[in-house]
Amino acid sequence: MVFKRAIRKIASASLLIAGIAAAACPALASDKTLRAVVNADLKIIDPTWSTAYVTIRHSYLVYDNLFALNSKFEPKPQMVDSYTVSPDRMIYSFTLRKGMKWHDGTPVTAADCVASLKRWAQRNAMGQHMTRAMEGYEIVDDLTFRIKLKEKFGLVLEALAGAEAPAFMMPKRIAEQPIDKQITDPIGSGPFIMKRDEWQPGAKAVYVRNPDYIPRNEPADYLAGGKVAKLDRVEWLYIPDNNTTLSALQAGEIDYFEAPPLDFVQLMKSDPNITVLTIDLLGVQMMARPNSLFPPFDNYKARQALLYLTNQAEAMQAVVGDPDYYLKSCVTYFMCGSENETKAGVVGLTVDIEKAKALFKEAGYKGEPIVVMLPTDRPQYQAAENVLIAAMRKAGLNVDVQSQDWATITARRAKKDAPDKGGWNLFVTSQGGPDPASPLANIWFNSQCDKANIGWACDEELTKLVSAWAQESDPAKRRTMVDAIQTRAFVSVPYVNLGQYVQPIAFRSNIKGVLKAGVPVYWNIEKQ
Amino acid sequence: MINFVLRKIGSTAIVMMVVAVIVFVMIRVGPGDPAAVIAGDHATSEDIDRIRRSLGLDEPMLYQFLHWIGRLLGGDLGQSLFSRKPVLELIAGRLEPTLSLAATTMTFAVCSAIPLGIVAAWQVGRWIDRAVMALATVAFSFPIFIIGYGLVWGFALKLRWLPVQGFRPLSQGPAPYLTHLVLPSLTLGLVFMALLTRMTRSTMIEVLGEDYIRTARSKGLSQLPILFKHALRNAAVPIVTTIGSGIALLIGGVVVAESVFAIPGVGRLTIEAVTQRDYPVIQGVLLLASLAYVLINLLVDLSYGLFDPRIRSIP
Repeated sequence: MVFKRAIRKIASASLLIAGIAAAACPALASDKTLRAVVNADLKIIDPTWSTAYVTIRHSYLVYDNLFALNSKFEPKPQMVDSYTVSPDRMIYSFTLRKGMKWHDGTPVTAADCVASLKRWAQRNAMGQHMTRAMEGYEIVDDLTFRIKLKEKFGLVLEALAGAEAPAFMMPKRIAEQPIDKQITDPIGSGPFIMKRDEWQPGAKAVYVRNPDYIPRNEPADYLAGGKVAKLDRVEWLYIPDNNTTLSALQAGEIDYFEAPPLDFVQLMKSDPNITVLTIDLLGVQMMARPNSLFPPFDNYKARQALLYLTNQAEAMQAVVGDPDYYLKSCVTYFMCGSENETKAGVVGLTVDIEKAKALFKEAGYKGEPIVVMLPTDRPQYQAAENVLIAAMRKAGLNVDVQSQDWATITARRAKKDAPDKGGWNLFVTSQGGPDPASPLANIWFNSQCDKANIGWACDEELTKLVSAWAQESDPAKRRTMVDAIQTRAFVSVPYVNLGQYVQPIAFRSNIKGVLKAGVPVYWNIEKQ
Repeated sequence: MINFVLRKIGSTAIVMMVVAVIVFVMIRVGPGDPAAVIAGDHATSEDIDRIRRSLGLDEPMLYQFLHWIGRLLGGDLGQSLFSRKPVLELIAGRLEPTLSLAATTMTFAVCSAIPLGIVAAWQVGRWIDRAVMALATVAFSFPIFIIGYGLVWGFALKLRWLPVQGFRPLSQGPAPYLTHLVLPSLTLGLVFMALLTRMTRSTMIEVLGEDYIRTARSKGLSQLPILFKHALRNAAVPIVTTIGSGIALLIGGVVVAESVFAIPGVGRLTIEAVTQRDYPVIQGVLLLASLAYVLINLLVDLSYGLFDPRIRSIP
């Protein structure tokens, strides 16, 4: 009797718990709501203020672009309806599509786009190159404007369509804010509208479908074509713990896991409810960046020596593990799989300790400490760097490994102090997408000394070759010029390519229409 | 008593001033630069310098300190360097999850630990005592994140009774609010329950050996009044002290639990601010956390008088 009563009580309690759990179940969310876990917390919503990937991904939801790349990495009109190029290729005339509106309901005009381009060009490397070659902008009417060049620049459309840091269009009143002032009003004309009132930095960002957005008629192709928003709502969640994110995906609490660690991939593939997909056609290039300001890497022979201490397969094995997701060898500076991939001028990238020793000797290296900054909170960088450090030690180098978090490294690497006074000699970083495939857009390839990116690579000859390449408008000629550029780069070595890998995404199997667009985008996706 | 409270309030103000100075100086002299984090991985030195200037981070440290203190005295904790949202708004938005988690954790821990400790003390040396102590040892030995992942695996992934992660505010209804708190509260509460059970047991064993308990038993009083009216009341002071210090310990645990269960609370806000060197947010959170800690200790001190009238008469 007592036993039966106990059973009845347990059953009632179970029903109560199940009822409460059902009431709390996330399945209540609308079928047209996508809950995505992004790789970083969205804290900055101004794409000209930060180069952080999460800010750029947010911008793809909210803003639109004049041009966008297709899967052949060709720039295709997006907001632009039609364009013409003068026979001497010095005047580009653009006419915008009719009927486009900003999220506040006002019409998109040529003046807005010119203001946006001016803002973008103050920060973006390609934009700065284009501006230097420009005479100016001319607004013809509400929908038409021109870019007038004063010297040749063959990459106007490529610059406007850049994938990792494209020119995002915004209303003139916002774009004309001083570049030193961060934009806090996320008004664009893109397929989704940010719900700023629901944005909780550190927790979530919410976007709803833009009912006024008019997609192009062409099918979506990479970042080009029709951006059809099939979801009513996209919720970006920030879950700092990858194990929790995986559990939430398995339980159906989230729909989309933007950057799962590669060691989760096999587990996710074994779950029929989860789809693992590589959306990046090119991938990520990992690199070792030497500091060209201080010995030993102020001497190009020491930088060349690093090429003989690099084993890409070993580095990628350490970083990725699963050979399905990395290339055993990728010798080009310009991304394997891109139109600029070349083997011209390649030296090293296979371990030859004796050769490396000889080159360090020629560079005048006498055993001074080489300060290598090792990030404690970026396991992939750490893995690749440890492989390189082991080879450097094998070559008898006095490597001073200094472990610190990535935030400390980003601050320290910007300093031009000597390594023994708080500066540095070497760190590892990465870049992805189509931009590294371009000698001009690849910011770590820039070798303009003081004007170059952190590490301050300095090679006048390489800079001249890249400038000539940028001026050339004939793609076939540009292709042959790339060989000369890479051949020179393997002499001056702005950085060492440690390998190329792809980062897959994972999502629930009822999610369809995920585009292979290089960066995660949310148009064309539907929930079934 | 009034003098006691006034003295405590005075010392709180001094402590807060010292905390303000230490927090400001420590995070400024530490490595890292928020401008570099804001600029992103591919920014140039010039980009970083420009952002630093625009945020006023290139000003002398004394100027920045006086500027911050001036705003603080006006009740303004400043703005996040990243989202440009007011620090007070950011903290206020994170209070409900953290306070809810702390409250449910403490409720679970206190409500389970005190009866278990009393039963263990009452049955000292018997199998119930040994079982309770074994449970306490196991709960105390496991790291919080292992308990968390274990509970998620069992209750969320296998049984599907409870959600894996997240937080729902009370305004969305009591059911989602509570179900989202069960696993994190259990995770965090088990360790604290173990600590409190052991403290309750040992204090109760000591008290149960006192002469007045023997007198009560000889008067023929039954077990319940002896345990709860006579013994527990006299054992309360060390137990309450443990609860008070437990709340401080809870702050560390909350950070882990909020990360494992993706609860957007103050703990995670702090970690994110520290990782990104968001100076105003770090300063604001640490200042308010110190204030909370001092106030909790003040309340614990005041509560002693409720349990032990002799303390009230101490000048």
